[in-house]
Amino acid sequence: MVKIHGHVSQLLGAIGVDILDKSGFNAIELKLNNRFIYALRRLPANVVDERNFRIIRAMQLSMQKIYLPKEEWLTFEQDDYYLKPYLEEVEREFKEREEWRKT
Amino acid sequence: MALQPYARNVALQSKQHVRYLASAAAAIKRSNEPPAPFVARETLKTSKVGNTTVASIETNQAISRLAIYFRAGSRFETDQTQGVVHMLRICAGLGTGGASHFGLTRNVELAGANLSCTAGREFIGYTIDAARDKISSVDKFLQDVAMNQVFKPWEVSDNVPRARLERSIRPPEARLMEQIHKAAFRKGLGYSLYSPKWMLGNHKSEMLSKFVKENFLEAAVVGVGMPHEQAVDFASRLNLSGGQKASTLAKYNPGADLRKETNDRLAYVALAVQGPSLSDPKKATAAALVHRALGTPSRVCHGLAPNSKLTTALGDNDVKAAAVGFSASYSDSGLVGVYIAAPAKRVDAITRKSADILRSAKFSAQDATRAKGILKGDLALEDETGQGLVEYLAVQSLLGKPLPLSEQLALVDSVTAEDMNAVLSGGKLSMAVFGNVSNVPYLDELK
Repeated sequence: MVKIHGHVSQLLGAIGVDILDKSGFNAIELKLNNRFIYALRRLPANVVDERNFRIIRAMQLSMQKIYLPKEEWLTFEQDDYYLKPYLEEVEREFKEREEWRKT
Repeated sequence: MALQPYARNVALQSKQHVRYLASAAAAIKRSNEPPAPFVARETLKTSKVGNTTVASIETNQAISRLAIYFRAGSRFETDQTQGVVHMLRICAGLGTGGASHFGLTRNVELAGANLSCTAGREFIGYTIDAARDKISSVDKFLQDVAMNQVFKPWEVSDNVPRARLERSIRPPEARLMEQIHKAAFRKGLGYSLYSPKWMLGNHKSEMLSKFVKENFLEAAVVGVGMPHEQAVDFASRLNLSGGQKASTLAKYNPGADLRKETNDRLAYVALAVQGPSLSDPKKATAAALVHRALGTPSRVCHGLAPNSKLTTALGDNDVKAAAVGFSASYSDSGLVGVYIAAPAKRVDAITRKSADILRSAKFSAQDATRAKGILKGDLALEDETGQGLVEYLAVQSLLGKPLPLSEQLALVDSVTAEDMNAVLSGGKLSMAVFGNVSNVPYLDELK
């Protein structure tokens, strides 16, 4: 079951659910009001570049069905929560909008 | 009439929803009480709190305005940070340490207040207007916006299109004004109020923060429509570190001729000589009078401009061409000159005659009296508008000494025609041309 987020569905109610089903988003488990995307947009440029590199390298390795050499493995210290502060801020902003919508 | 050119941004404005429904109109109960008696405006009060000068006038009216002005205008930019004040003005109202942009907007709107930012060559100011009973609940937002902005990188980059829009809707007169300053002063005062095109998008968050940290050191707080104690109380909550370093002295460089050719039927020409600075208020007033005596536009829509010295340059009162005076006084220099807008085939004659007038005009007592009438009207009209009063008090508190209207008018009266003649005596010309430059004589041809 897919949770319906977003103002679109709340405005349209049952019709919104119907449109959402037809648009195919829930078929591949994507959310419309994606805080993740908002937070990703805010990453500084160097973090974005590193992330893209890691993703592309991972896809390459997956296609070749090999692993990285042991010396290039990511250590525990390097595995940081780079998106966390931005996600938290986006979450706070969404909450603020919700608060104001209620009053 | 403002003493210096500036550009204004209204950051957050309350939306007034008015419904003209017949039933609602009928339901309004008309009160039979007499209207509240008119209470005159009180006197101007000034004081100093820490690193802040406070000036306030209790207008006894329904609207209160509170403003913070910093001596941090476009003249304090550097070659590598040109346009940072433009971006600062655009970014007024974005996220601060204490509130998000969304929260700030909604809270200010909830109080029915307006938050705006005005930037000039020597100052940048943030103003909040609200009803009397609401002003104390929104002044914390003013403090936040003025002193505590965070300049989140994505918010700044999201607002670059607004800077681009402002640049693209500049009228030719504004572009000419920027050009004549660049011709006359090169750097410092010559930097434009608008960001140069090549800098748009290059004002990073760190650049904005650095400019604020280095230049928002001393302030003038102005309160209009509130008791002086309230303005002083607000000023005492600001923690300004002071130590504003003096700006590099403005150097007037005559002989420059800046031209920007565009596809236009008209030619816009500005000719200027160095004018007095605000350090001598009497001389600055004389410059403003010279401006009015040289020429002012018509006050009536589609009307004819009043007779003035430049009317002889135009020949008969031709509506197809215009020549008016302009003046700008800054803390250590100024400009006085002529603005011409004319079709290409007439601009040559008009420019030559205007240059002669600018170099050798002699004002009679009659010219002086007429100019005084116009200037006094301008000062009084600006004093009447809430925002105009705030700006006058703030800029004067930063750069000079604010005077009540009666003293401003007395200062105008004290200037003589000889003082006005001294303003224009022997000045060397600078020139800026915009539009159809084909027929405009060069500066070295204007002998």
